[in-house]
Amino acid sequence: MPPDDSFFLLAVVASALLISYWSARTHHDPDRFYAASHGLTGVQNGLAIAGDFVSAASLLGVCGAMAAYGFDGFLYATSFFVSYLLLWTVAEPIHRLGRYTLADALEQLLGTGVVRTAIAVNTLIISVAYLIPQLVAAGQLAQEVFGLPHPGAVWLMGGLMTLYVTVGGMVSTSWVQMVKSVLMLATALFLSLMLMARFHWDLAALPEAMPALYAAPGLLYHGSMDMLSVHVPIVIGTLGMPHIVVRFLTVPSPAVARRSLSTATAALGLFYLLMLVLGWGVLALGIHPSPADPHGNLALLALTRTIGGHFFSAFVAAVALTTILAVVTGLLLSATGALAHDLLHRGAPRSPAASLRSARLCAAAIGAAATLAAAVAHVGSITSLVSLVFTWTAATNAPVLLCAFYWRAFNTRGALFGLAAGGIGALMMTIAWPPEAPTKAPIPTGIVAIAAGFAGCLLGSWWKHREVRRMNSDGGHHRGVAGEG
Amino acid sequence: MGGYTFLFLERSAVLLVGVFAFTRLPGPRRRFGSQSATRLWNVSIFSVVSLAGIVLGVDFQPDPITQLPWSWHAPADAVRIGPELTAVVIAGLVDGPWTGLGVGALAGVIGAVTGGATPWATLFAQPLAGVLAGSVARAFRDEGVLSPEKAVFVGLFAPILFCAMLLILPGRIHDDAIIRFVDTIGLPMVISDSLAIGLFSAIVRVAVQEADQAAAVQMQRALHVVEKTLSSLRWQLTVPAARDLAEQLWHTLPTPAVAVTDTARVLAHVGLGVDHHALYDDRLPPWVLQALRTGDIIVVGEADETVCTRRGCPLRGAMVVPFRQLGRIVGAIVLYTQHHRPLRAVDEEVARGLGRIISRELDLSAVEELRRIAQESRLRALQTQIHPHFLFNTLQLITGLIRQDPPRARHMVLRLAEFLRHSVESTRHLLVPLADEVRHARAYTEIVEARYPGRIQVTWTVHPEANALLPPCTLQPLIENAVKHGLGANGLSGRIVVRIEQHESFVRVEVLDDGPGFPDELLKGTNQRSTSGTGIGLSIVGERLEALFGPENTLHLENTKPCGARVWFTIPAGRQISPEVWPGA
Repeated sequence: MPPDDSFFLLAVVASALLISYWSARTHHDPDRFYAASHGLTGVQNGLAIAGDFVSAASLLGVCGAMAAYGFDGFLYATSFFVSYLLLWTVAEPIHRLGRYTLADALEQLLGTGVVRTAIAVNTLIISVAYLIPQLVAAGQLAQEVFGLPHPGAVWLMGGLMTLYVTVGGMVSTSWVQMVKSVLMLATALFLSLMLMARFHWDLAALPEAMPALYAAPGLLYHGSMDMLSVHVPIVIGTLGMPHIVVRFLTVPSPAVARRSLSTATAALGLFYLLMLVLGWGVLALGIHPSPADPHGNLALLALTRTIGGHFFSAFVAAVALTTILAVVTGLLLSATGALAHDLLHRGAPRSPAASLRSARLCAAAIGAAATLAAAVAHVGSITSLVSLVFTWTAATNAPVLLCAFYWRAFNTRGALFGLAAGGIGALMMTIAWPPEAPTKAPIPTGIVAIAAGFAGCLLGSWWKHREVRRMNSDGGHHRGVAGEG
Repeated sequence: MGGYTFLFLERSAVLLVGVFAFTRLPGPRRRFGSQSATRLWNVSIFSVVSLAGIVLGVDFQPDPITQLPWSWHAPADAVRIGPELTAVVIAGLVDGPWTGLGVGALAGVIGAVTGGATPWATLFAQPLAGVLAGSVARAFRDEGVLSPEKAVFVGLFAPILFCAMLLILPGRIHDDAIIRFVDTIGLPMVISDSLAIGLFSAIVRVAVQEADQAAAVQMQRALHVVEKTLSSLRWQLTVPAARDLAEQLWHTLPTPAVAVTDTARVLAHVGLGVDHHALYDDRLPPWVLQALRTGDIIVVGEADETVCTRRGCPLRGAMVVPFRQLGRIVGAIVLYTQHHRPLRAVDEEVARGLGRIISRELDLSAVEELRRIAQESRLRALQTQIHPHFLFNTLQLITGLIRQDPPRARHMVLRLAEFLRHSVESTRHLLVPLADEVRHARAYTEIVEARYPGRIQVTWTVHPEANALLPPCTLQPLIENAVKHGLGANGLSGRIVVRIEQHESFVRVEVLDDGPGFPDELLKGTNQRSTSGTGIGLSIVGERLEALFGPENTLHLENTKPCGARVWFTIPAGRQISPEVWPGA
């Protein structure tokens, strides 16, 4: 391994250990473990949201997709950004209703323990199913860039992730996400500036230099239906991603929650704009994905090597590792909340000490299990798993959240039906027409699954709605969002 | 790569040795504390260091990479790499983004003007590094000066920024050449600069700590002033006295705010945060309560605990110094700080001294108060306990009995003698055994029962092992009061119950009657002085109990339903109070 690479890899590991060490020295309680004591400022949480949000798929994948498919590839960046904008619809209700987890918020709203169980199980499924491909991607990156052996790299990343969450909970998770966010933005900014300097500060020259074929749509999708089927689940799915929505629980007030969203909007807007510039750069400098890397995940690193040399590509690779680390840490934390807080303690632990103990045990157990799964996973199956996760989330959590917050007549039965219908729909669509399959599906699979989720919510709420409503009104739990300050 | 790393480290080491020597000079050493150093002073000092760094720089010919011999100015086709970036970053870390910007701008301009092939990169990289380092320091400002290991971490990014600037603004060097150059010197620069920044931060930290220690010596001197002022007053814990104390401490100690509390609320707050910390009905924060419970000095605000949750409150840390009166914790002084700074042993010693001075003053004033009460009670015992009327009436009763029932008359004389003996003797003691009090009160009730045959009926329930010390003539006035109630209201018969219970740690004494009960205005306070006849006797009893055993052992007056009254108090069981504490015995 060249000294640049080993130094930056060492820096990533050392800083992870240091942050864990610092957070281990402070005092601990469940409030701090799950919600950073609700004490983050708007800017801090905004940066952490951006850090939580931008996965390797954004940082490395967008450039790769643009290198491979041009305009159609960039649509991923727009989808990610639009999906983030949809978060504005759920941020405030979740902040107001929840304590530590998504299930907290929904149980508060619908008032039955069944909902907690269902949402917690779903959160666990989503988090772990998303965690595994991210870890595999981290392992691949470490393998290809730093030359680490494959299972070893996965174990390293999984170990750091588990350490972060077990020791520091939400506090160190927030810190690693903030640091990552700043690093990622600065890196993208400096790379773009280097690129512009290469083109003598003439922004117009950049798109002109890229092949005309890539500037037009049509390289990836054969029609708008085709495109929507891929992108609608991405846009809607983010809304239900548990590791992102719990970030709104770490701030003290709705005003700060809004401020953190503004910060995150600015950061992500800038980031995706810079990714567009870098994507142009990849095309203009004629960087093509190598045969070993069909998805173009290494295109950004190749671009960096061209304009910044080996020193900078080692640095960017380290930033990419930190990026993945920040995302998997957030995922593990939300999975831990679902298992320990929701399922084991049913939202009401006996004592803070017991809550903290089981949270740490669960974090260690889930972390170890996910790392093991990622270490033995078959690399080829990863992409379809990611797309299944997004479709699944868009069809289950997203309809339930939207209905719960914006529809007064929504009830427990609706939530359960919605989760079931959405889940079955997503599974059936993915099994019938896998995303990697050569034959294209005759129907927009993702949209159908989401529609199934919403239909489940509607039908469940309407069916025998009198009895259910009586049950809810007796409990006095059914609180509409619109009616509250 | 190793060669360049050592080369850069050598140049950094020369600079750091110079900086270390400078901080040892007596003048600068005192000014390194953040309080006395102005921004101008910081900017000038760090600018001088960064200029020295520029002079110490290594010149490189980038294509092919060759190291040039040392010269004052970098040749026009060379790139100069020096430790000046270290000084710029440290300036930002120590004193915030503005100082970072100032030092960085100066270093950038001078670096760019004095030569080299990449003037623009130098011009932009230095101020940017200073501002960014300053912003990081502001995010971590609670720590005072950033810890060396965090400074190393921050320092990693400064040379990366510089290299990025070289690539963005390559000046007169060809693109490929500058990329090769960055590949070669990037890592050595990162390693040497981050290590130098960590070391530099450690040097500054030591200097700041020494300045703080000097401040602590000053603080100790201030304590003597406070001690003198306090002892000239008869100091008691009241709101005005607390405000005086807080103001004095605030003027003499280097602290932004001072609060004085008793065990339940803030009595006074002076200094920063007075707008929301000075609310008298404010409940005490948990960390103050903890100090009041344990009696130890408590420091809050290390790392990430917060002293005040209010937005914009400048107070970030605090030291709570509890003080005692006669061994009991009665309040605390809270010294606030604006930094989350680790506590030093000196500070704690000074605070402990402060707590001791105040406790001693409170002890003195409490002893004074006790002496006054003892004298008063002796007087009152003499004045109030043996009413001449009572004596005459009793003697008249005995005169009658001598003829009708001589043995009973003899018995009554013995009772009266016992009553008188106790009344007279007890005034010499501050505390008497409970058994003596019971005997005294029984003698009294027997006399009263004989005087009003059939109209007063006293039932005694005394725990056989009840054992405690209490002030003399405590029980008898309560019974006297009950007798007056019972006789005054319904002309029929009064029933009085005296109950003495032994609990684990205390003895409860209770007197019940079935009279009309206390008037409402007397019940409003448990220990209120009242002008009515019954009130004075009871209020003296209550006052004495409170003075000796504390407010929780005061006299309680209650009306029972449907009619009647209950008077009760508790006292610590056993002979727990050593007699030598009490003066005037």
